[in-house]
Amino acid sequence: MADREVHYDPAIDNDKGDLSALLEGTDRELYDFIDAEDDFYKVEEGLTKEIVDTISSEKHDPEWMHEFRLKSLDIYNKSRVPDWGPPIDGLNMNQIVTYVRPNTKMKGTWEEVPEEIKSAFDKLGIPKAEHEYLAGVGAQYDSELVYHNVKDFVAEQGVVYTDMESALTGEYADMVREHFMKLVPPTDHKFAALHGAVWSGGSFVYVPKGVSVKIPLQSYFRLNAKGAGQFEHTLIIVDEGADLHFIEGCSAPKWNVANLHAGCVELYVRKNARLRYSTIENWSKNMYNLNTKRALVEEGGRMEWVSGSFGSHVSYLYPTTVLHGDGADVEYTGITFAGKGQNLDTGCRMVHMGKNTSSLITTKSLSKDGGISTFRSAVEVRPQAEYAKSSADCQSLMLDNKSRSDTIPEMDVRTGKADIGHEAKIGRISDEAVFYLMSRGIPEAEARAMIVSGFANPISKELPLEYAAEMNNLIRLEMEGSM
Amino acid sequence: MDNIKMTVNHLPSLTWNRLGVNQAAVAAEVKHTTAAAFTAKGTPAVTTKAMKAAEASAYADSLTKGIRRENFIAGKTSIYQNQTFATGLGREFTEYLDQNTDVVLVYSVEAGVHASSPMVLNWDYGKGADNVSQQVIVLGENAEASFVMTSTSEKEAGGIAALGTKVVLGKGAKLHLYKVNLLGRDFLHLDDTGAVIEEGAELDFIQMELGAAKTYAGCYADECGKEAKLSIRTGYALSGDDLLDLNYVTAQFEKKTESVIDVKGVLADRSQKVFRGTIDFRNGSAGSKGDEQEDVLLLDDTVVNKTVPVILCEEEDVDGRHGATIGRLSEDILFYLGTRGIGEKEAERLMLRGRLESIARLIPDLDTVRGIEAAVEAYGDEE
Repeated sequence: MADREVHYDPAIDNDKGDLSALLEGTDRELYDFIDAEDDFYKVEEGLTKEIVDTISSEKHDPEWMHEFRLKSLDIYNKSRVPDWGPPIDGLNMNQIVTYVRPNTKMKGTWEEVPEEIKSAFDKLGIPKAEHEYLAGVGAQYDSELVYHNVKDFVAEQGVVYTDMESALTGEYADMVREHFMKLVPPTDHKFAALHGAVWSGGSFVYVPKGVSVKIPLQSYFRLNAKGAGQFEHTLIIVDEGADLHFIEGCSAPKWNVANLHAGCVELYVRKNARLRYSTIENWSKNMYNLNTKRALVEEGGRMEWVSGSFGSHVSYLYPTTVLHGDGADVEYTGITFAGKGQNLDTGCRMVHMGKNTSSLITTKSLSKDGGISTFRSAVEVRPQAEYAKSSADCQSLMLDNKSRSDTIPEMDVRTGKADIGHEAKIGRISDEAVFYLMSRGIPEAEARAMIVSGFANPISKELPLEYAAEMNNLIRLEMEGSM
Repeated sequence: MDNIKMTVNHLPSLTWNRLGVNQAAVAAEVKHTTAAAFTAKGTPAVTTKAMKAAEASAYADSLTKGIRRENFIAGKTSIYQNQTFATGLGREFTEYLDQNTDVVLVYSVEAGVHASSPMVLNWDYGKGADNVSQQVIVLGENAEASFVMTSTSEKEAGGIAALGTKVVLGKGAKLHLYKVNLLGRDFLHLDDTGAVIEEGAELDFIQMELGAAKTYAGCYADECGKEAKLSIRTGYALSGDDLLDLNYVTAQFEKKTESVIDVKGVLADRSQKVFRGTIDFRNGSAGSKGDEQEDVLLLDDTVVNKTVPVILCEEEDVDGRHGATIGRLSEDILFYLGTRGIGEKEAERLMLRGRLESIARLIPDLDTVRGIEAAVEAYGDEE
């Protein structure tokens, strides 16, 4: 029995923050442009009480929010870094700038947005998308929203879609205070506490009872600044019988130092309401994406997550759904594509509390060029959740033997009246399928890309057409040079 | 014999701590001065040699011949990798065994020898006892043998039953290992297995957990030769306040290795069960297969069932899968059986029998099979 040579990528394992070697490979020109920010306001690097005080002052926080930030900072300082999951040793908070404000106030028309910022969103296709198929758009650049608009016919239905800062002091201030970081308290984990201390930007959405928003709202987050963090907060309340599709997009140019995203999403789905929350995450490959998303679903409500994770150097991302009311249900559909230099730890958590609740999980993950993809989940059925049902189907595709793919699900069932199923498979592209396509004149690289697109199809068909096209484009980009 | 305070059954790749499945904590005090009565029904094909614990441990370690485990890169790793000879319960339990065992029995089967009858080892704890024992089983090339290990006691008895088994299978060897727990209702049962499986060798492991108040059982298998095979089939029946904590890990290093983990059982009353099953495809295991399945029948609303079916993979050309079915008896089945005059309690017992007896009948020792049948028949009578 001889010693075995094992695949080992010290750049990922040690994670000392030297990212330059990891940023070779796919040139994602569409997302990787960099804009100058010489006249932007920035706080100093690091995380201190003085910095938190400065952010709070700059944002004109109400007093309760200032106190909340300081309390969160205290929790952050006392919390431990996770001892599970991908290494994040390369993330040094002393080198992260937690607040970068563009040189503009938030605008209601694209014409008013400064040209250099507008051009960034033009390249990403946001104004065009708004014009053609969105009911409203919020665009965040670094730490602040630079554009927010909702179409008249949506506003006339009583739908509120605004930036978090305005919501904090405006007509809905009490509602915001009642819900802000109640689903994800700062005590949840270290990066939730960090978010509580330095959050800025993000959107507030309220859909009144019985209102169905026929076309989606979208928030787009662009992090341009080198070595900066983005900590936007999204709070959505879909009231009884209402219906909303919300789309979240994000991107950043690549830098050779670490950037950090520690956003927080809190979603309230009231009785018989429905919310679909779609995300195409395409952060650059120097990003630590430590994001927290959570939904509370009341009686008869329905939550739908559609999640695509393509970017980031390291991701910790597990949308959580608490099925609080009887008959509530949730569907999670996700895809993760880990390429060179990426360690993407994604999945979901379902908590069944109401009777007759159900959860359905469908995930696909791909690993290529030494990338690491981990699916991590928990399905928790509490004692009172009689007749709960849950089904999970996780499939992983290994595209070479330099990469890694792990599946770590957990099920915790505490009632005898439940039906829980879980299936997972891991494998590779079959030689027969590639041979079949090649025998019909399709080059091998293209054949493999087609098979991967087919593998991802159950996810892309859940997205609006334009976003499915973007996702397929990302898959094609990732597959380039894979032969 | 020392009191017990340790962590065991470490999940190879850690997950969220609040789920409480990354490891299990065990604590117990030694209360008896008597040890279990040990009997061995031998076969001439198996030779037995007594060694001091340190000598046996060094001998077993020497047979692992430098297996590397330090290549985990995805999640943070657990402490089992610090063991030279990895086992399911892990390093702390191995150290406890070594410190508390005077003599380790090393069973060997020469190359090419097929033992026609099984080796039957029994630890009888009678009215109650505390006992630690460990053994090493070494099969030479192309040898084949069966070992049946049973732990028994009177129904109301209690104590500590700690058992550790290290298995080394040479090329083409085949071991059928049966471990059966028929202990009384107040026992703490710790049952650990570690295996090194060489080229073309096969470990066929059956574990039946039908007794004891608390059981921590685990198996770690290094499939370090090409075309090595591992099969683990486990059956359990828990009731009252029983606790069962399982940890099975198979690390597949070489080409065309295979592993199957199949766990079936029933939970009733306030019983609790944790099942961790990990298939770990290492780089170089091209053409390998791994399959783990769990089937749990829940009979009461106060049970706690935790399942963690993990697949770790750093090889492209593998076929890995896992499935878990956790639930109650369906209304359709109950109705069907009801129309044939079978009530709910009897239907539950039928389902239990179906799950366990298909495994039990593979055990080549009639007394053990009868013991299992009696335990199944008596299941749930206490409540």
